Order: sequence, then C-alpha cells, then structure tokens
Amino acid sequence: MIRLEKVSSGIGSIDILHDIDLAVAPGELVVVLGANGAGKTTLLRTISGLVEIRGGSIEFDGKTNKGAKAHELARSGLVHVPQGRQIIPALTVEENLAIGAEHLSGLGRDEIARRIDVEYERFPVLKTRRQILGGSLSGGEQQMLAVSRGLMMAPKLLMLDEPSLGLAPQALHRILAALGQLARTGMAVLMVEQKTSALQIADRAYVLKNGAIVHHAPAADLRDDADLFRHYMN
Amino acid sequence: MSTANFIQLALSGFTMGALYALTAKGLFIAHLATTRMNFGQGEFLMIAAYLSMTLLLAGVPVVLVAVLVIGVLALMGWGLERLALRPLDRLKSLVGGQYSWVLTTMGVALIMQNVATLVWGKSAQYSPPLFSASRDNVIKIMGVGVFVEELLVIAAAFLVVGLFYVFLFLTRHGRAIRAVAFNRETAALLGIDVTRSTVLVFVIASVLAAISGILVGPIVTVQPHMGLVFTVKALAVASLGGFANPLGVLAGAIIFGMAESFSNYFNSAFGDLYPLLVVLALLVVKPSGLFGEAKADVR
Amino acid sequence: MSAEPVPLPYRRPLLRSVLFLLAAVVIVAFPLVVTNKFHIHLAQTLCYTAVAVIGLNILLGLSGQMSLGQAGFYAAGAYGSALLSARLGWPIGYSMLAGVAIAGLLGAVVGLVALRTRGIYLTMATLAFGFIAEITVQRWTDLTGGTMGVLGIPSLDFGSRKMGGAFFMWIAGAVYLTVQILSDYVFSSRYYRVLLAIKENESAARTTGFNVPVWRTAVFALSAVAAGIAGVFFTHQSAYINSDAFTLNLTLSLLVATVIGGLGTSYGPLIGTIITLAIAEFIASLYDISLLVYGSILLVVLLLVPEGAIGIMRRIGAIAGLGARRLTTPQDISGSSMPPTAATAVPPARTGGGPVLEIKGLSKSYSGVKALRDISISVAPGTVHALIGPNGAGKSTLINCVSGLYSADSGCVKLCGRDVTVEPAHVRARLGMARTFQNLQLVPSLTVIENVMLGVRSQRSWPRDFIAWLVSAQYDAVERRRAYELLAAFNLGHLSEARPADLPYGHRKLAELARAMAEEPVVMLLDEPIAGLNDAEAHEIAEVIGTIRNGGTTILLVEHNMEFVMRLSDRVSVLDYGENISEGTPEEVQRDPRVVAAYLGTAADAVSTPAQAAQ
Repeated sequence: MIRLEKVSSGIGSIDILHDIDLAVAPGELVVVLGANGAGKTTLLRTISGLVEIRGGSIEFDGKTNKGAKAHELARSGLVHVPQGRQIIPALTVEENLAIGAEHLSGLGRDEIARRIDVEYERFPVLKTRRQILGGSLSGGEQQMLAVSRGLMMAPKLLMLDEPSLGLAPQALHRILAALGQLARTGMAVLMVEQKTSALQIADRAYVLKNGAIVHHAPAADLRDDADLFRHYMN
Repeated sequence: MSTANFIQLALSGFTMGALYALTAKGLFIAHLATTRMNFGQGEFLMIAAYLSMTLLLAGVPVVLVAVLVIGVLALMGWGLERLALRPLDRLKSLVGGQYSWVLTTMGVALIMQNVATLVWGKSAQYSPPLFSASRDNVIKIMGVGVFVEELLVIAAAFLVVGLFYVFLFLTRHGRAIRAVAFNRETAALLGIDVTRSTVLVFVIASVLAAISGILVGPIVTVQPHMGLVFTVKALAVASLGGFANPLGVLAGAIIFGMAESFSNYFNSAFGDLYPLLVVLALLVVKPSGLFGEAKADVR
Repeated sequence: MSAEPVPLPYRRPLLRSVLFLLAAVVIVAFPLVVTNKFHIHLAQTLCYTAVAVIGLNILLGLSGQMSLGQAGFYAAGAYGSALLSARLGWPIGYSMLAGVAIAGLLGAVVGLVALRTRGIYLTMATLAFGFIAEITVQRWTDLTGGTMGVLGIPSLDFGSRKMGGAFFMWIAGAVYLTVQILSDYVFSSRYYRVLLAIKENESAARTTGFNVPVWRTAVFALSAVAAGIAGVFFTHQSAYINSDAFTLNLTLSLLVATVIGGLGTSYGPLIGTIITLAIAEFIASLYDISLLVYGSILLVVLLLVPEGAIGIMRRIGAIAGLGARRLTTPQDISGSSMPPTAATAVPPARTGGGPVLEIKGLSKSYSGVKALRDISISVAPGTVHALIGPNGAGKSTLINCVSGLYSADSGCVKLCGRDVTVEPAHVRARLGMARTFQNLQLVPSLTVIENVMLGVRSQRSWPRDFIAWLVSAQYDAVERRRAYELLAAFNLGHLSEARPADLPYGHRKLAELARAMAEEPVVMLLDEPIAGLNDAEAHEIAEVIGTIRNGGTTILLVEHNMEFVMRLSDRVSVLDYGENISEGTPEEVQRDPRVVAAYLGTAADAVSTPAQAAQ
C-alpha cells in the first residue's frame, strides 16, 4: 500500500531523515519504534505531506507522491492521526467525527451518519459522550476519538503517532484491539511508538534511530524487552 | 431626558451597534482563521455604501442592489487575500515582522479611498432609504416615534448575524474554518484545503462589510472618509470580545453602540470618542478583552 | 587563551566621526550656500521628519511593534508647543521642550497597553489613539482652532528674517544629527541585541534576563518622543498649524518612509525620508491621486522590495563584491583591561552550601491535563542532575515552570535558598538561572557572537558605553572577548560572524549553550541538549557539560539518551505521567523495573488474547 524508497527529508536547514526504506502492505500492522528525537514524527509527517521530501520517493496506492499536498493525500485515503490527538476542543465529539469525513468528495449526509454509527459501535463511550466538547474528554477518550475521526475518512493507510501517549493501560487495550481488528479487515496500519506494547499486535517492526532505520524484523523477534531498551537507548 | 428620547437614543445606538457587530465579525473571522485582518474593512464598507447608493438612486430594486454589491465586495475580498496577503507568506522575510499585512491592507484601503473620491467626489451624500419610501418614515411604538428604517436595519443586521452563526457553527465549511483556526496542519490532515478556507474567510469578511455598507448608507451620510471611523470602532468592538468570542463581539458591539449614542446626546462634540477611550482603558486593565478568555501560558 | 585575536566587524570610528563632522558642515553650509527659500524649507523638513522616522524605525524594525498612531504624538508635540508659545507666551525653547515632554508622556500612557498585551492589541490601540487625537484636534476648536488652526506661532528664527531659515535649519539639523548618532549607537550596542531578541524570540529574551514588557513600553515611549520632536519643529516652521496635518495619512507617510528606506537599518530613515519627501513634492500637483500613490507605494514596497532602498543597495554592493567588509578582520583586543577569563564559567560562591535548586510540591495543569503532579526535586551544588522519562511525562513543562516561563499552580521553587516561585523569568535569570531550549531559541537576525553576547552581563552604564563607542573600535571588547572565548572553546570561533541559519544544527546547539554560559549562571537548565545530534556531536556536548560542571556550575538537564545520561549525571530523576517515579544514581535508576516499564510499557499493556481484546 505504501512504500518508501531511500527517502530523506528535513525542515529548514536541518536534515532529519536519511535513506529510509519502509513498506506496509494492506492488512499489515507495522510499528516503527524509536526513542524521542529519532525522527518518528517527522517520518509520518513526511509521508502525509506536511514535510517536504528531499530525496527518494514515496509510492502510495500504486501512485508516486509528487509534491502532493497534505489535504489531497488525506482525501485519497492516506490518513495521519497526529501526535497528541489534536482533537478540536471547540467541537463536540460528533462534530469532530463528522469533520473527518466532510471534506471527502461526494459524501452525503447519510453516508457520514452511517460511518458515525460504525464508530459508535467500535467505541461505545464516544456515543455516550457524543455532545460533549472535545476539549473536555479524557486522554483515552480523545485518542479513541482521534482514531475514529481518522477512520471516518475510510483510509487505505492509517498512520498513528504515538497513540499510547498519556493513556492508561485500559484505554490502550481498547485501541490496540481495535487497530488489530482493522488490520485483519485489510487496512494497512502504520504506528510509530516509543512503548513496545504495540508489538503484541504488530506483524513487523522497524527501529528508528537518529533518522535512520537501524533494525527491521518480524514483531515476534523484537519482544525481548531488555534487548530493545538497550537497543534504542544507546 | 424624556422616555421617548431615551427609547429613540437606545434604538439608534442599538442600530449602530448591530452594524458595528457585523463589521467586527468580518475582522473576527479573518483573525480567527489566519491571525490577520483587513485593516481596510471600513473602506470596504464605504465602497459598498457608495455602490449601493448609486444603484438605488438609479432605480435598481433593493434586492438586486444587494446581490450586486455583495458580489463586487466578495470579489474585492478575494483580490485582497490573493494580492495583498498571500504574497507575504512567500516572502518570509523578517523585515516588517509579523505586521506587514497591516500595512498592505492599509495600502489597499488608501487606494479604495482615493478611488471613491475620484468617482463620487469628496462631499457627503445621502443614500436613499432601503426599506421605506422616505428617510423620515416613523411609526409609533408605545406612543414613541421611532424610525422604521432603523427597526428594519436592526432586523436585517440580526438576521445576518444569525446566518453568520449558523454558517460558523452548523455547516461543514464553518467547521472547517474553526478547524483551521485551531491548527492549520491538523486541518490539512483532515482533508481540509487550508488555502481555500483562508480565501473564504476574507471573502466572508468582505461580504459582511458589504452588508454593513448597504445598511448603513441611509442612516449616516456617505463620504470617502467614513471608512476609518468604522475600522477603528469595529476593531475596538472586536477586541472587547477578545477576538475569540463571537458572542462577546456582538454583546460588546451593542453596548458600545448604545454608549456612543447616549454619549453623543450629552456631548455632541466628543461623544463618540468617550466609548473608544473606555475600550482603550479596558485593554490595559483586562488585556484579553471583556469577554475573551485570558490566554493561559502559551503551550 | 589570553592573546588570541578576537575578530571584530568592520569598524572605523574615526571615519565615522569625520563623516558626522562633514554632515554638520553640510548642515551649517547649506542655508548659507543655497538661496532658494523653498529648498531650505525642504531641508528643514527633512531634518525633523527624519527624527520621527528614526523613532518609528527602532520601534518597528528593532522591537517589532507596529504603531498606527504616530500622528497623535506628532500632534501632541506640535499643539503643545504652539499653544504654550502662542497663547501663554512661553519662550520657544521652553515650549518646545514642553511639547516633547507631553508627547513622551502620552507615549508612556498609550504604551501601557504594550505593557499588558500582545502586538495586535497595541496596533489596534494606536490606531484608536491616532483617530482620537485626529478628531480631538479637529473638534476642540477652543483649544486648537480646529481647521482654522492656531495663528501667531512664533517662528524659530531668533527674530531675524534674513537668517531665520538658517537658524531653524541649524537647530533642526543639530537635533537630527544628534538623534542619528544616538540611533547609530543603538544599532551598534547591546540595545540592538536585546531589542531584536525581544522582537524575534521573546522566550529567549525573558530567560536571558530582560524584562520584555518594560523594554517594549520604553521603546514605544521613545518613539513617541521622536514624533513629538518632529511635531514641535513642524509647528515653528511656518507660524501656523491646523488640524488637517495630523491625520492617519501622516502616520502612514511616516511608515512609508520607514519601510521604503530600509526597515531595521540605521540609515534607512534618512534615505526613506528623502524618498518620501521627493514623492510628496512630485505628486503635490497630482493632489487628487495622492492617496492612490501612497497606497500603491505601500503595496509595492512591502510585496516586492521589503528590504527597502538600503536592502537594494546592499544587494547591489554584494554583487559588486563589496560585501567583504562585513567579514572578520581579526584585531587583537588584548588591550582590554579585564584579565583573560577561562572559557568555562566560574560562578562566585553564592550557593551557600545548601541545594542550589529546590523544587517542592510543584503541580501544573493546563487544558484539563495534569502535566505535573506534586514534583519534588533537590539539586545539589556542582552536580549534573538529569531528568528523564518517556514522551509526554512533563519534563519540558517542569523546566518551563522552574525557569519562570510558566507559572505553577502550586508548590515552590527555590534558588540557593531564595524563594523565586512568584518571580518572573527575567528575575530568575538575573539571579543566576540560565537555560537552553528544546527547539533552539537563537535570534535569527543576530550573528552567532551577538547571540552569545546577549547573555553577557554588561558592567557599564550607557553614557560611558556611548562615549567608548564614539571614540574606539573596541568599545565592546570586554563582552566580545568573553563571548568569543566561549565560542572558541567549542571550536566555533571561526563562525562567530555567521547567522544561526547558516550553521549546522549541532553548532547551533553549542552556540545556545555558549549563550547560557555567558550569563555565568549558578544553575543551568538544559532542555534536551543533544536532541537531533549525531554521536560525535553528542559526545562533544557531553564533554562540555562535564567541564562546566567541574567548573562549579550546577546543571539540571532533560534528556532521553540513556548512555549520555549514564555517563554524565550524578543523579537522575524519572518522570512519568507528571509524577516522580524514581530517583537515584544512573545505575540505580536504569535497573529500576518501574523505569523500564515506563519507557517500554508493561506486560499489562499487552493484548495477548482475543478474549482480552473483546473487553
């Protein structure tokens, strides 16, 4: 679904990513692990079009990304759920969900309502809080909302930036379970994470350090905690 | 002062307040989405008033006048964003700092003012009433004579304010603007075309100026220098709402308009300055405006 | 270290003084040589208008504040002096001074808005002020005569009709020259550095010890004084003023002059005023389209040539190869009286034995998130204390609270036993707290060495500094040497005249570190000092930090890199979800299972069975 070949990128005069090779196929759940400052967020922002590519190429859904704008990529199914959720605080839960789909072309009211119902089934707590302002939700609820908002866009590739950030274990459970479920239905899922909890549901994992991929293995091989801690702390 | 006086003053203050609110909302929505505003909002209003006056005097029906004037101003708003604001992003030089847009929009305002003087002359003129046959059409409410025109202007203004709210809070494009106001990048990730939303807010701001101009023509005299007055007052009123709270802008505008009306009654020479001075003093005391939330530590 | 030559930017104080003298000669000779009274009138106008533009240039170009109300201060000076001299019979000298004082006072009052609020409110307030002034002057006919104006204003001609114009020119010219020299001084002094920091990087300015709101208000008031000076000269030039002159258009033409000459340069105002006056003369006959012309000029200049005339000249100069003079000409400044200092800071013994930094029960929440819960940390003198924890744990928030950029909801912060919890950031900086930022807060328009000099505490009062600047090319030798030594210790000496944007990221981090060290702090707060650096650069910084620590400075740093932390720190505190979950030596902390769990997630986070998933 998505393939990065020798991708480099940066912001201003700083080069952040170097020669990244990465791919995610439909139905796969891939995790990119790395300590802070490794470039995980920049990686996702490069893929979603917020950061310019300085070298290499990105192919999404069979098409090469040539300077496409972020909103165009989003509309074509490349969905990026940013770090910190970025739930719009002044909008209600339902409005936050709606806005996920309102800017896709050709989507009628009924279809949007249908998708909202699907998300309410996935995360029932959102339904109970549907008229609450986004800013009043807890961290876990916001994360669920952010994931659902992303799903409203019917993504072909769903990317999440540190979904575990600030989440209590219970909330993290629900989200990881939902993500695993989605991958099984054929969606391509890419997560960047600092914590290794995501490895439990992942197929493959990359380790990112100082802007380069330093390790790539099936997720099962990376579940040895102590090794990994040493690996990307050093 | 008699009760009749009081009611008439309150009513005309309310009318002007409603118009200030409309004008200020244009500033508000532009600032919300882009942190920039049209410092020539008053001049846009002035052009609308002149156009409306000319068309009405030529016998064009009111509805058509509204459509035409709004159309022209919408085009001007698009032009402003495209030519006087967007190029500034490209420059990225730190020279004027973040305030170059103030100067470019003022530059446009100066040009508008000159155009108006060249086309319509410098002296003040009277615009024919919109809703009634003559300017002095009066009806009696509770035994007090009030201008029909003012009542209808208030009604029209509130209607537009209502539509504005509906747009901002109930439509998808309004939501998109609020998303852009929150965070441009997040909005883009949601598939929102941020550039298009930016153009939209300036078009809306100009449309609001247009409507204000059409409505204000019959009430005050139309002359090329009226723009600055409206810009200053609209800015004052918008800052009362802390540039963040649309309801605050409306409330502040009504209070401001009425204060001005009574102030003018007691002191016709300087009456319209006192409310401005109060707003300035308020800014020192409560920097985020009367109704805005105090901005907490910037994250 | 002691005799190493410090590169100085190109300076020729002798040449400059000669040029000033030449200018004085021109000012004296002009009205004697030129007989056309109109030309003399223009020259007079040029002199005093340039003063107003110089004030506006420093306000907008250096401190980054936009004023749309200069006409109001101009009017205050003009009417103040006019009324005092024409109606109350004051001698011109006193009335002019009084006029300027009134303008300054008004400037301070309006500037109060600058004290409390952000930029756009100030701009709006100045527009309102200018408008109010315009209307007041127009309508308060008893006082100002409105459009009929004030008659019988004495001219500044000392009673001589023949030489009157010359006398006026000499006084106006002298005032202009004085103001221009002072402006040159500002542009060459630490004021330039501080103002640009305030304009471009407020957090850096505050945490380096500058009271930003006070500075802003002071600059605003001074720009009002400059406008007032122009006003008092204007009023005594033609013996008559009326309210037509003091409109928004006056403000805008001053702004045009500021921008068209070259905003943020010392001679931009002179050139801009010449150009604007020329334009005004040119379109005087085209009065009907004057607004159109001014509006178009504003647009053209801001959109196409924002650097103004001086910017264009510089570009042409650079192409013609004259740019070399900007670069370094090493000059030995060993003549300075201060003994050479060691590269690393040795703070005087003011720690008093107890912990240098004490944080007790600190809590902070915003946007409904509790970022810090009851944090207590004690940092012993002369140690490196590290703060680690996963993303979002609250580390940066803690540093921001300790340095004073955020105010905590509860708890206290003590620096060497002194409670600084309610003190603003700049006070804490002056008390010995320096910091660096995670996202690098250097001032882009300053050179690297100027950035470091921002941190150096100046010992000298400004009059002495001014005289030193006037006569010597080495007036800032002490600060410059100190900054240079710090940079040289990082092998950055050769880059001292470059701009931060030209430096690779690692070097920029070192430059910021140098600035923090220039403050000779008691404690340094470093927010992710090696983020984004490669191994070699990280190693270098680790060495530097170690040396700083060995020199006696205490360090509290936030970092992720465990190896770095292990090697360098004496003590480590671990944050997670805003709480202090572990504290101890690096070895202890690294083996603490709670810490491992915080970073990697616990087994409980894992979803192992579909049954669990279905919960």
